[in-house]
Amino acid sequence: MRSESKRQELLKRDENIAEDSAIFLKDLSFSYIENGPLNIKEITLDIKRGQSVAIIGHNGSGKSTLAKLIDGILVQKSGDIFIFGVKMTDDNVLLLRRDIALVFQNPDSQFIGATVRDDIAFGLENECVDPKAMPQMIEECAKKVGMEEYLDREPCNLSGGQKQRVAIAGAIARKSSILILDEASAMLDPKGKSELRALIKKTREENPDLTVLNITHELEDASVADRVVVLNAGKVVLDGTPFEVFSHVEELKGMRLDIPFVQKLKQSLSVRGISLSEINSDEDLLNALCQ
Amino acid sequence: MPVRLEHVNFIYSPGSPSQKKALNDINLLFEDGCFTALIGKTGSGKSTLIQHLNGLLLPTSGVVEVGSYLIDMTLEYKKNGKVNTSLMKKKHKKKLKDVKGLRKKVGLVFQFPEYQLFEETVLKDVSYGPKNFGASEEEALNMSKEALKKVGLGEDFYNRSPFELSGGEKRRVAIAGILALNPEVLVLDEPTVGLDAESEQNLMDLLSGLNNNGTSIILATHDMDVVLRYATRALVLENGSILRDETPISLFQDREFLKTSSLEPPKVFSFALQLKERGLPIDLSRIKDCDSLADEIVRARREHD
Repeated sequence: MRSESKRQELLKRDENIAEDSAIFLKDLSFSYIENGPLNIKEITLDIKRGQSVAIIGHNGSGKSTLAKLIDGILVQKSGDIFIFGVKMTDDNVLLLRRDIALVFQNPDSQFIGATVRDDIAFGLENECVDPKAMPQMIEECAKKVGMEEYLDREPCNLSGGQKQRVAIAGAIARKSSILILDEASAMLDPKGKSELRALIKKTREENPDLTVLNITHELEDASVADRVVVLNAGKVVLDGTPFEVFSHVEELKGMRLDIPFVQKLKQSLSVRGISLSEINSDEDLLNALCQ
Repeated sequence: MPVRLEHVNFIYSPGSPSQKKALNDINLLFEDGCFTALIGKTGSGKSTLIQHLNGLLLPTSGVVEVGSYLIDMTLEYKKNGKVNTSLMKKKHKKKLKDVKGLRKKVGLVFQFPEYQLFEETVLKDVSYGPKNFGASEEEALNMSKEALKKVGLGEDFYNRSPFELSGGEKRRVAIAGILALNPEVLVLDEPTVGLDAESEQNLMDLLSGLNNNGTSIILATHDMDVVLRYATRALVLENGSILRDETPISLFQDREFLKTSSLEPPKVFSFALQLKERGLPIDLSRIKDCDSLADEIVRARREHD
């Protein structure tokens, strides 16, 4: 057993990191191959407590690699990762990881328990939660994600959307303060996607301190985030509010990324001689075109 | 090669407590060279239906006819009125004789086909299929190179490990593995899921090109933009039955139906509809994407003035 003083020493904050920082990446670089090309190139990024950040980029831009670095699954080549101001090291990575919940793309690859209840309990056991307190905690979390009627079902018999909700229930149960979604809605049908979006919104409202990192291809996910970070070839190329980022139409297209419908149509129209530069919503565009 | 389904019913684990009817009296004809989209919620029976098209699943009752291949399960249905599983097994054996030939003609691409990549190199992975179907080493390699060319992967990919490719490239390798068999009908389950915008565009252009050269394309998808842009026919499945069978344009105009079945029309189409409702004379049948909508807006505005 690690003594409390040892634990405190391991989790000592670095005074130079801002008080409200949840994830701070400093000159972070990573390569999958020794001496090979860098998959993450000197990224510096400060994500604040309670912020919801969408990370977008084409396949292979380094999004998932970044998530795995933050969770300590991969180890960086150079640079530092600070979780709530605490520098991640080999010694404290397990302690820091307790604050982070990761939901993967494929809902099937993250189940361990034979029933939904067991699966949520697994996460709690790892956190050494008092077994007596567990049943009630599980019930509460399942209720929050609308899965209370499925607790005794086998995870394999759930739909994709339900599986992701169970994964999020596990994260809530562990009281993680950082939730990372790695293309969590990619395998879901449109209904599953919108349910997941609504659940994340609700979870954030109930836990205003929860920091959400959403790695996504979905424009709709990105447009509801507080902040959008665009990765290309392992570098941060754009960083700002959804409105700011999505106004860089040409750059986004150059990086093989989709742009919102209004921007897309405006561009098709401008090629045809109809210029509508000041318009940014569906309604305004409709009005302008029907004048 | 036309594909015909007649009174096809399918029941998972018949006679057991977990018995579940997945297809309910399906009657369909997929014509030669068609581009058909299968739409439906998770659990609607799309994947079950798809697996009937190349004999991976055999109907509990009914007929599946693919070109000259016939899977006929009508007899015992009529004889018994209900399913006799012991009879079925005997029947299966007889009907399955040339299932290999059928599977060569009808290529099936599963959801996330890249999970099935396993070989050391891209070229080896793609030639696994042709070799399995009896091609010699050399033939298999030629067929594979041809297929890789079709999916836009050049020589520099031949000796790379499929596992170090990006998601979009992996998927193209997996699809090349099916194309190497030169199927006449290509069936795909959610081929664009998880791809970025450009990879999706490349993949759809590939399918569209194959279709122009005569390959029938049948694809299950949730992506209504893909349906509008590429498909000429949209089938909506619900609880194992065909609910709608029409052109995408006529389907997307039925707002009431879309609402009740929680389908969302493509953004570009609902925008076109709104323009029309506000008096701009848009011809909805010409709307495929933003460019064709822009063309229509220009034309309609000129007409309007």
